[in-house]
Amino acid sequence: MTNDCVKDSMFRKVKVDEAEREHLDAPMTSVLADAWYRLRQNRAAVAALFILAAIVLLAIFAPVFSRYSFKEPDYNAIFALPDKAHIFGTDQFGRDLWVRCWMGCRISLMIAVVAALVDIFIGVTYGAVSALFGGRVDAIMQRIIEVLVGIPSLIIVILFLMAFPAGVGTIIAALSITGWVNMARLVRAEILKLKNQEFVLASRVLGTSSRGIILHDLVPNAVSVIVINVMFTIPSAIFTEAFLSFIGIGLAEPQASLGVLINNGYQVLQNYPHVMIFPAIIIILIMVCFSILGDGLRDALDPQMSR
Amino acid sequence: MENVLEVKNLVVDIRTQKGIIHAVRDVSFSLRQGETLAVVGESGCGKSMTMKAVMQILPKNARITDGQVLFHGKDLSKYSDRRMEKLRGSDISMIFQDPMTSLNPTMKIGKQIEEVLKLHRKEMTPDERRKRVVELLDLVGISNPETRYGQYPHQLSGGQRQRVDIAMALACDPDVLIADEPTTALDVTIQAQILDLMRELQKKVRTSIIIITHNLGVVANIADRVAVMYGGKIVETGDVRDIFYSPAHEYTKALLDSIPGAGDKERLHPIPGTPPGLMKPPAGCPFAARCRQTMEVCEKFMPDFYDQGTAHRAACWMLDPRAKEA
Amino acid sequence: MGTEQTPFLEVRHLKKYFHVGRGKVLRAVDDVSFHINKGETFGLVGESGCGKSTLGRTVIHLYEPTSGEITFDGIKVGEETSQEQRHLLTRRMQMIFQDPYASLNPRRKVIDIVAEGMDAHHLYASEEERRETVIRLLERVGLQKEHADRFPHEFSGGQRQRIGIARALAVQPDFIVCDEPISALDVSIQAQVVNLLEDLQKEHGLTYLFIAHDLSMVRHISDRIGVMYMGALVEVAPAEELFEHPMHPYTQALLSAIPLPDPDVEKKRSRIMLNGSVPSPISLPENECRFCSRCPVKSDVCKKSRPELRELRPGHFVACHEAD
Repeated sequence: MTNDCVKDSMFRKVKVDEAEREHLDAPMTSVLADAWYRLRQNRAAVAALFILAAIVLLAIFAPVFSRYSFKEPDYNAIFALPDKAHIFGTDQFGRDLWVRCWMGCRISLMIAVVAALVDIFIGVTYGAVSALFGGRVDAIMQRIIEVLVGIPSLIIVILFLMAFPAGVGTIIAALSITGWVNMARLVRAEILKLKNQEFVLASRVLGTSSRGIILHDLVPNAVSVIVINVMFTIPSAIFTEAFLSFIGIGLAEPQASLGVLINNGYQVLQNYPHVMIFPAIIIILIMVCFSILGDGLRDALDPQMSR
Repeated sequence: MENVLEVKNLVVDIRTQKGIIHAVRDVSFSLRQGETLAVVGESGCGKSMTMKAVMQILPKNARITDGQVLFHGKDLSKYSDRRMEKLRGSDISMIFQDPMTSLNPTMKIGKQIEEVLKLHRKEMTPDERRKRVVELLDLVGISNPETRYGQYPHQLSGGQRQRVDIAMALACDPDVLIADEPTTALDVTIQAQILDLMRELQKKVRTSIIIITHNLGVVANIADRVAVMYGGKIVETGDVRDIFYSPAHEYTKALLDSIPGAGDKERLHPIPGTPPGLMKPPAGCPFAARCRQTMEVCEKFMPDFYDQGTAHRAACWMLDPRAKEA
Repeated sequence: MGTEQTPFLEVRHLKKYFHVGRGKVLRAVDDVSFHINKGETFGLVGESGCGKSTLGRTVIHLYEPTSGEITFDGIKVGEETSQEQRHLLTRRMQMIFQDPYASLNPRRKVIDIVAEGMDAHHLYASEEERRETVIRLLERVGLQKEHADRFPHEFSGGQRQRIGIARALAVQPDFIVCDEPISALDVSIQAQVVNLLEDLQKEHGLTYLFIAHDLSMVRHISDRIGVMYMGALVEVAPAEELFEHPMHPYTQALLSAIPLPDPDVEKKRSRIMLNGSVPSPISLPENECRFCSRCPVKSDVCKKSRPELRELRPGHFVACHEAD
């Protein structure tokens, strides 16, 4: 074996480098860098991320760089099929669907993102307060949540929309009324779990203030739960908005949202399928991509769970 | 004595996002009929992974890249999943560190043991099965086995759960029982009971036992033979008395030196540093970086085994005649 | 180490009860009294669930005691203690935790973890001073200055435990509760940590409450040892005295159960096996000895009254009717 290369002279003592004994094998990485690395390994998630980025960019810039307006009718080009002039064709008023689709996408995304931000704000605060105060405060806050969960959220949303004038603001408010409950529950559970971890106890023993504990120990370690939950609330908000517009109590013409467009196209589906197909494809892409990205993020941020 | 189990030049690699971990590097050992072999080593030295390879229950990202696992002369690494399933739990069985996670919390303990019999002893009638389960519970020292039969795992204490786990492992009279840190999660008084139980059972049923542990007291208590692992390799094997009274490998010596003696108020002698990472294992002896006697050769070449007696061998360059001259 | 000097830490009739729902009460710590002298290591042993960790956490004020007194260096801590005084005490009393994987915040760098106490108590004037102090501490516990900017998940268990020790040292405490600091570590690493703790004790005159279930290491490190069973101390004695002449039947059984790393001794040893089941700490009968249900030497009196700690030899206290 290797013995042939062993020379007698090698049998002398050598001093071992002290530093070598405490050598760290792995390169320097933070938890987030690790997570990013794992996410990049997940091809489906990366593809989803790219598609979503493309959709967002198109939603922002496509209407700006088009010579058509999303609401001006053009009675010379009613129900035009997709061609060079109108990439997605036109609708019954001759409005360019390319512009209307991305305009609708922009509004749907905006509603969803704002609703998600409101969710984060209310949900995280509510959940954190509930978990940190504990005792009676926690008990009362949890009863309130249980009552809210007990009422079907769609009924609240529909009633709300009937009581107030339809518009982007109203829809966001309607989605936020019940949307934060899930976030509050998740954050509460996570913080309850973290609160008794030894590193939080260590902070208390060291005399760190409650503010310091929340800022350095609790929030950074709960971020993954929050991010993952947002990945699932955004598509569900988009879907709810589309559903409301589709049944006619959401946004109204000439405003465009993905729901309004699908509703519009649905009525002429048999004769002019292109009017409905494009917004439908966009909404499906958004839903599927968020879902895949959410799963990918969960695996990347919380490697124990996927094992 | 016949070798029940023989592992030859086993190599196990684990694929991770950062690279391949060489968890088990050319490990060979044998287990004789009716003996207890203790495998000792620090966490991450490859001892659990070796046993998982024997049982063919490696995690998805790990695989045997070389070597053989011979059970009564047949190579298990060539077995299909189907054939392995038949073998596991009946000819070779395993008990784990935490009996709470290896028992199903929603199933009565009697039924869980019966499941094993149902799977491997198809010829038994339900009545026979039930009788056998009660017999097994009695064998592992559980009082009122008839009542315990209908209880759930959470109604038992940690020690009792480990007994149930052992009963389940012994249900089909296996030739080999692999115990992975079976007493680590238990209190010392319960640990003593479980060790006693394992020793008694071995006398009664003649099972060969492999026990993985890092507790040298447990090794001294129960083992006939010991294999010391370090950095994915076996560095020394021998009878338990050889290992404790005339250790040959520098790691074994240092390990025994690092535990406090009775009434010893002197400063302890720890092994400095930490075990090597197995992503890029050292070219030479894995212990070279922490050893008191490191020579140039230790850092460059992996030593072969040197015989120290009938069944006592160690892979350490200090045992080479040339080391004594220098 | 005479008992005449004023103890550094004195615990008197300490009780810590937990409400576990449906009106049931878990008496995790039930009327415990002991003291620790300055510079001394007091070992606390017992099996899981005996209340030793709860006792440690109550002593360091992580838990509010149900009743009883804790006096630290002449300062009695109670309801009337102001937040400021309590904050000052967090600098003087520190803790080292059991699980090296859970006791360091995974999202912070080593430098911020070690400096956390210094941040809380404003113990540095500048950012450079903060970094220098952290590096000095890291080097003191055998790590290197390059490690300051790394994250905890990159370190091994033993290295993490040393980071935890550096973090406790950063506020220059006089008293440290070591809550099973070595039980999650490998044998060869345990000795590293124990040596480090002993050296630091000598350098800084530290006082330790050392909680553990590994009795051989406790024997090595402790000056005196207390044995806990079901929330109470059943025996307190100087370390060697306890191991040479254990008087409580529980201590005797516990000591005889430790497997020794010596095959010939192990083959010949006879063990005291405890029969009977471990009672639930929630429904423990009030007026009998706690160890009654498993005791090999019990008599009628054990069923009728609960024994108090009695000094049977100098400095050796036992709570057992039968011991003498």
